[in-house]
Amino acid sequence: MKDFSNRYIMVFSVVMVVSVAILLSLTALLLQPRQEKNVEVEKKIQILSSMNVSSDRSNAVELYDRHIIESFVINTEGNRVEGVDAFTVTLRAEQRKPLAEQSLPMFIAVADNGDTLHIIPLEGKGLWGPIWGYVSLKKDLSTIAGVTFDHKGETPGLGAEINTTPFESQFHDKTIFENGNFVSVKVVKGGARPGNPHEVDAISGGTITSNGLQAMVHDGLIKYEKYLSQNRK
Amino acid sequence: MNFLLKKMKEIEPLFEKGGRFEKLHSVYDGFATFLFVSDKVTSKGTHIRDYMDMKRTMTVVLIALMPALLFGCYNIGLQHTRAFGIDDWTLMQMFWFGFLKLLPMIIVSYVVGLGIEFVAAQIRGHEINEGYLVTGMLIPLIMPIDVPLWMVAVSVAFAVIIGKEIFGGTGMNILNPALTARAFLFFSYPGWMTGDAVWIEGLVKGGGLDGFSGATPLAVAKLEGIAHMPSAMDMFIGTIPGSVGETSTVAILIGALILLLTGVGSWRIMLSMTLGALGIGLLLNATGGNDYTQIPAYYHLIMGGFAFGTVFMATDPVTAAQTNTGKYIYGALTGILVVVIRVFNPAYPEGTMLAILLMNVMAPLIDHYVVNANIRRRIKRIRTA
Amino acid sequence: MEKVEKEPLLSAKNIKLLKNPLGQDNPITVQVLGICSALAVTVKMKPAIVMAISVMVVLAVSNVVIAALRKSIPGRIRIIVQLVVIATMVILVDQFLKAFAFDVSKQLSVFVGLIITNCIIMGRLEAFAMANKPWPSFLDGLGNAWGYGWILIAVSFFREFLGTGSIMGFPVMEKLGVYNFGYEDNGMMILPPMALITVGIIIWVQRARNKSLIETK
Repeated sequence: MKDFSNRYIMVFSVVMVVSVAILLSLTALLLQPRQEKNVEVEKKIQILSSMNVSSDRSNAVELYDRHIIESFVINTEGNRVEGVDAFTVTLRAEQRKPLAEQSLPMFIAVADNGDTLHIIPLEGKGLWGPIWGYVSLKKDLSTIAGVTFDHKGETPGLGAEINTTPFESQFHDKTIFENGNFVSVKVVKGGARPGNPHEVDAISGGTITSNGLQAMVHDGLIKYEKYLSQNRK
Repeated sequence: MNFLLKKMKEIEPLFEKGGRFEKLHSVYDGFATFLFVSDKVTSKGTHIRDYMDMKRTMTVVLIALMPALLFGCYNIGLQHTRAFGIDDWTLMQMFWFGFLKLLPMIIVSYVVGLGIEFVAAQIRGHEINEGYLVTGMLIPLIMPIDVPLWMVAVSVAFAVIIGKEIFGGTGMNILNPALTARAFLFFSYPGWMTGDAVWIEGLVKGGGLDGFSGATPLAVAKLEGIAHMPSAMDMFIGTIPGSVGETSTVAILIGALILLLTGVGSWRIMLSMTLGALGIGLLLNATGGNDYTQIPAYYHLIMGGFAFGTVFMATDPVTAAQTNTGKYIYGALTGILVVVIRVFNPAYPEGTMLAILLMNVMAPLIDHYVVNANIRRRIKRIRTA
Repeated sequence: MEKVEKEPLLSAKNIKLLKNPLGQDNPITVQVLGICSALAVTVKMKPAIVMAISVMVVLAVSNVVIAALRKSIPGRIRIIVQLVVIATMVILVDQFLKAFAFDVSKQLSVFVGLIITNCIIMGRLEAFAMANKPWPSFLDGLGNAWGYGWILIAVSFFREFLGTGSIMGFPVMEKLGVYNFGYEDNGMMILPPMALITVGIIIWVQRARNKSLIETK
């Protein structure tokens, strides 16, 4: 290896850094729209899935535009907050704010059979990491039309079962209000009592995840309590 | 017996070097020494060979396991009647019911485990290791009764091949094979190893009494609060849900007595492990932290797998520490870890298995430092002298 | 040692560059490099294959770039230069995955970024590309990446097949109907320790067949 002068080394480094910087910023610039689109489509697929519309990458945007007719942000008092795009709200950031300042996204959708659905995003903690999901409520703002859950890294075979159809489908037609009082849906270890509209079976062996999910549903929905009570028909 | 001995001696030449069944020598040797005390003598130098060879040791451990095994059979039946609301079974009926449930598990464990040992011994040209005699009995005793038999077979195969043969067979393994089998099942098929239903025969398929929970005391403490735990007496006698052999502290203590009187089990490990668990338990009682720290310290000794693990698993002469000082350290740390895992880990209520396996890995390190400390001390003595 | 005679593109020596890393000089099973990613991305076959290809692109291109510049890179800052080249390639690959293979890039998450720390790549740049021409360096990069990749794919095959009962996402076990007989997927195969044990078994088999790999004390 030759010995190079300091000046050469300086010039070499500068040229290298500048060319790499140009290359990387160009790629980032070119690919960014596509990447953002991917994230957006992902979210739309999940929202659609909570209202029992299955979609994939190719038709998610189209289906989303057809079904979701309105999205807005409210606060815990149930009043609309203007100037915030519901779609871009990140719940994790919101949950760190004081309750009164939190932006609560709400999506209004029309199902295939013409029903109006209210879709609420949720985020909480499982055993090993974050879990999240969407709940869609029927017109009475109490009966659940569908849910979708997902997780970052719950235990395979136990906690990870929350994003499977057998678990999610249990929530169909459960109600979150009892005589006008908010009761949420409980995840019951050892099995829900048959016919109880506020309970679903927990995952056997996945107790912590089940409890985390129950807390997520309760804590997420209770913020919407005022809005849901006021707007119930 | 004399006739059998004669017969065995008669066919022995066939298995010697040059004999017709030379390849099967290890099989012959295995059977012969299993039936009779070894008559081997050393040919070079002066050595004393004790009659107390590994097979005798293993037999003592098997005898010590019997009380836990018998009580386990009875408890399977008892828990079954409780869960299904049967109230007219006699004691013998319960025992027989449990025995018939347990027997296939024992058979599967021995057939698969010994089969692999035989094959491995033939390939290596070693003698057949008798280490599996005890492991094969321990495995069914630390399983929930309802585990499907093929899962038992898979976990036994895993434990013997990956846990033992890879390291060179009995005596060379780092991890306790029986616990390796259990850990494998625990992580592979968690649905069969955790939860409330698995501890009681037939409950997984449903049909139990409404509102009956088959949860183990540890799970009860975690989920419903300490107040709902079974009484200390129930846990001591063992009429609680749990793995087959682990529930009855009394039966295990009888086994411990046998092991201690014959000198097969290490009293150092048993004592230090108990003291370690008790000590950390008391410390946690005093300091608090979360709800489970308030479980009375002595509860830790009589619930879950602690007693069984202390007497039959932690004392495994192969995987425990070898030096006497090392044994104290090893035992105490295992005891402390059991309680720490139970109290602070949200996911796994059973800490004994994980604690012992972890300390198995640490045992050689402990020995290393104990030996080195000893060497340093003696060097110092020489220098000062 | 400048050669006057032009070497054929795939001379015996060059073929060796491609072939040796697959078996007796395998980066994972013999040199025991790049283990961490072998544990993390082998739960399913698809991410493992994408990871293998990503490493191949990064390694082959970085090797060529470094080999081409080898005479003009100042020795004193060569490690930094190598790192910059690797990091650039990794970021490019990561950006492309995010844009064109979003699902897989979600599963691979940080592990694409961590290719930078994969010892195989730094090792090949420093040990081979700094002293060889671009073409052999390219082959060396391909060979080593493929040696790494096939272990990844083999491990992921067993983990996916036994852990989730499918191959490349196709539910084989379900189609065979073995679940009806009480078969269950092995949850431990999905956990990282089983990847290590699977790699260990591959090493075991390899050494049992090739005794020259067994170290003498």
